[in-house]
This record gives sequence, C-alpha cells and structure tokens, in this order.
Amino acid sequence: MSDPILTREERRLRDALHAEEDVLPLGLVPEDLVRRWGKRRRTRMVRRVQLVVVLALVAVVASGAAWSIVALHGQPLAVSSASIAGGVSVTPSPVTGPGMSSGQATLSLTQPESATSSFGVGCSWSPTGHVVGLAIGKQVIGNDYPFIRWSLTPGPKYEIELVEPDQTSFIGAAGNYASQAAADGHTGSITFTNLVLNSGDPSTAPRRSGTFSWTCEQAASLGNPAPSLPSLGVDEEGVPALWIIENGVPVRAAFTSCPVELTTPAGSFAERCATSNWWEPLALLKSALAVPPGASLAFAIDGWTITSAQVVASLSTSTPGSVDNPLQDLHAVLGNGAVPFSTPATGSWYVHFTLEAATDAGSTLDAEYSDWITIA
Amino acid sequence: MTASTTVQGLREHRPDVLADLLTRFGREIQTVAYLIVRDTGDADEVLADTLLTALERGHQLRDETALRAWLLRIATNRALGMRRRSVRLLQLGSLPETASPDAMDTESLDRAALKDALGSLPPRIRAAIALRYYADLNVDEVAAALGTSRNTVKTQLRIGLDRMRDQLRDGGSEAAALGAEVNHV
Repeated sequence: MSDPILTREERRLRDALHAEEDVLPLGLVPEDLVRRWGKRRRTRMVRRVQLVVVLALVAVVASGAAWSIVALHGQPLAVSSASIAGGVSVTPSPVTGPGMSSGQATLSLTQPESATSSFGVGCSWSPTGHVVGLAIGKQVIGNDYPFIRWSLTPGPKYEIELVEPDQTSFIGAAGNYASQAAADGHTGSITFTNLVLNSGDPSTAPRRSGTFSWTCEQAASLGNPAPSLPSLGVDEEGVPALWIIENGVPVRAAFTSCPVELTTPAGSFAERCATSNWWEPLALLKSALAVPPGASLAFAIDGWTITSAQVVASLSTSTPGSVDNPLQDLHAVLGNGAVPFSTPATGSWYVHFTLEAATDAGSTLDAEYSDWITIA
Repeated sequence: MTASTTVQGLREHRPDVLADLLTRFGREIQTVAYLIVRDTGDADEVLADTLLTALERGHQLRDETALRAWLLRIATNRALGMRRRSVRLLQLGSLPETASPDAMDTESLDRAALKDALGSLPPRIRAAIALRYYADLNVDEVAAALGTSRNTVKTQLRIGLDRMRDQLRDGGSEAAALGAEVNHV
C-alpha cells in the first residue's frame, strides 16, 4: 500500500513495522476460538445470576444515600441525582464561558476513606457539532494525584480513563459505566459504578458509584471570533493567517506550517507535509519576533473561533523539537477569539501552534503554524 | 464467505464466522497487539479476546464497511488494558528476551533498535504509531480507535517520532531508518 501523505521517513517506519508481521507465528486456530467461545458463554450466564443477587443486596444497602444538586444561575446545568454508596455531596460553581453550560462539581467521599475530587463538567463547541461534553477531574488521595479524564467517544458516549498527572499513562481501572453525550439543548450523563480511584489496595481504595448529568444550552453562535486584525487575513493559498498578539497588539503573522486542511462552503484546500520536522522552515526566517520578558502573548485568526489548540516551544539553540515545552494545553481555549499562551523563559525559541478553528458559517480549519520568538 | 456474510454472522453471533475473521484479520490484529504489548503470548491473547468480543458484540456494528477499523479498535483497547495490568509484573524484574547482537546482521540490528525505540514509548503513543503506520489507518480512524481527538493523535504521532528519532540517534544505530533520515534532512 502506498500512502502519498506519508513522508519518506514515515514510509520507512511503516515498512519496518510491517516486517514485524513476518516473524510473528500465528498460533491461534479456529478450533481454539470456538472452544473459548463456548466457555465464555457459560461463564457469562453464571455471572449474570451472581449479578442479580448482588444488585438486590446493594439496592437494600444504598437506598438512603443520594447526590444533591444545585442549579447554576438558572442554567439547566450540571450534576444531578442518582443513588450512591458512601456519602457524597456535590457543590457546583458558576458557569464559565459565553454560551457555555459548565461548572465545577466537588465530591466528598466519606467511606471507606476520606477523599475529595473536583470535576469540571460542561459543554463546549466543536467545529463539527457545536457542543460536546468535556470533563477532566483531579482526585486527591493522600499524596496521590491521579486524574480522571472523561472524553467523548464515537457513539456518542463518554469514556472514563484514570491517568497520571502527565495524562499519558494509565493507573487504576475504570469501573463499569454507561454514558450518553450531551448535545445542544439535550442532557448528557455518565453513570458509573465501582470506579476504583487509585492503584492501591483494592480493599481500601475509594470506590464510587453515581451519575453526573447535565444539559447543554443551545449555543447561538460558535463563540467569540477574533478581534480586528491587520489586513493580511489569508496567505496566497487562501489559508487564514495566524497573528501573534503582544500586549493586545497584533505584531506579526506566524509562518503557516503543515498540514493544513481548510474547508469552506465554497470549497476546500489541503496541504500535506514534506517533512515532519516543523522547525525546519523557521531557519529561513531572517529575524525573530523580539518580545520582552513578562509580555502578554496571545494568538488569533481574523474572523475565526479557535476551538482547540496546543502551543509548544523548543529552544532554537538545542536540537529543535527534542524538548517541547507546553505553552498552552489542548482543551482550555474553546469559545475564545484570541487565545493567550504562556511567555517562554528568556532565550531564543521556536514556537509551534497546532489548532482547529471554525466559523458560524460552517467553515473549518485544521492547521499548524510556527514562529521564531526571542525573549530578551 | 463474503464480507457481508461475515458481518451478518457476527450480528447473529454465529461462531462459524470466527475462522473467517481469523483468516482475514488475524495477522493484522496480532501484529498491532504485539506492537503495543511487546509479547507474542499476550498478543495471541489479545487476538483471541478481540475476535470473541467481536462475536459477542456483533450486533453493535452498524456499518459493515467499518469492520476492520472496529476490530482494530477492540484490539487496541484490549492491548492497552493488558499493558496496564502487566506493568507491575514487568517492574518486578522480568526482562524481555533479546538475541545476542553478535548473532544479528545489520538489518536485524536496525530492526532491534527500532523495536527498542518503539518499546520505550508510552503505550498510547505506541498504539497510535502502530495504528497509523502499521495498520495504515488515517488520523481520524486512529482517533476513533483511541477514543481521542485528531489533534491529540497528531501530537502523539509527532512526539512518538521525535522520541524514536532521538533514541535511534543516541543509540548510534546510524543505519536505522529514522535516525539516518534525520541525519540527512
């Protein structure tokens, strides 16, 4: 298979991975599978009988406990009720963001050991569907700070993951859960049972059962479009320019990197990368954008709402790309027109923007930009 | 058995489709699983579990053209779950078997270096690379398989390639694919 999108480097990696297939013996035979299938079906039937007995016992024990819910500023929002084992209370905080239904829910667990969690739950915009649910929670148990991340999965449903604070490795095991995604004007929910919140002794680890549900209000518009920017709105290909804003003033259009996917009602444009090394084109720049330490930095695209973004910086004097310092996370920018990002420390930096943007008219942009910035 | 017949058999939970699934998708699922879990026995387990889960949940497959991507998604989730369970066991000291370098030719050394570099990545990044560059799924399909956004997948792929490139370069395997490529761009 020849994929023209791949670079030469990626094609060589693909060929090497395909070579792995040749050395793996396929030990499984159909008869094994059929035998396992029969065994699995018998085991499932036994478990179902056991589950009915357990559920009957749990219903008796947990019938007195419930979540408490408070509506936020009259918004049809946030966390609502369900049966729960172990004494949990929920305190929502104010709504954030234009047209957004979102809030904070703090859960206090009293049994089997004291622990507190806070969860951000809410609705925000996506380029394709206006509203999705998003929740990232932080659990505090002693000296452990695992995160609970709920993400939207196709279906639409939410997926619960327990991850380390760097959000790359898993700990613990998600319990049983069922979910329904929230859409404009509708209610989404996550119901979970037996969610183990740390990787310690299962007999003492806090377990939680309950339901979060919330309603996304109908969004009148996608969010805040960018402020008025200089006349260079698009490049020669029609790709919108990304402006870097210093202390509220647009100062420089960033280098349009790749890949780029631009879709408008009038048509679409896509450009792939000749190299995956995003910093290489920056070597062609004659000068860096000089920014004093402590300056306030942001970026924006004229007429567009940034719906998702990640900004990283690499020291231009080291091996670029080898160490990426995050300046902006992926999920914190929804609904904004001008997106602030952290000012790097003193030095010469290659900065890379990966973002998605959209307009109310239905245009979408999935693009990467980069620039050379010195802080001195 | 045609693709349509296979999907129909899955929806009806007929065990006779298992042989067909094994023939058509077995190697690919096994290799994706192996690239994630790094153990042939575990990869076989993932393969078996994937096909049995597919048979169990066949009624959930609405688009029959998505059968392959659906199977790879099940396999990836199973492999990542197995990785989570096996991490503690590995930390207790069982080391993977490696062949003597003297016994390997240059190509094998390069592949071994590549495997080491791939094995050093976090499991989800490794899964993204396996799905993108081995299974040839596009970024959207990888995102669906991993239950994350395309932006996250693109970031994972870039981080994965960067780290592999660094490790191959640091390891002195100049002929290794990625490291050599970097030296020439």
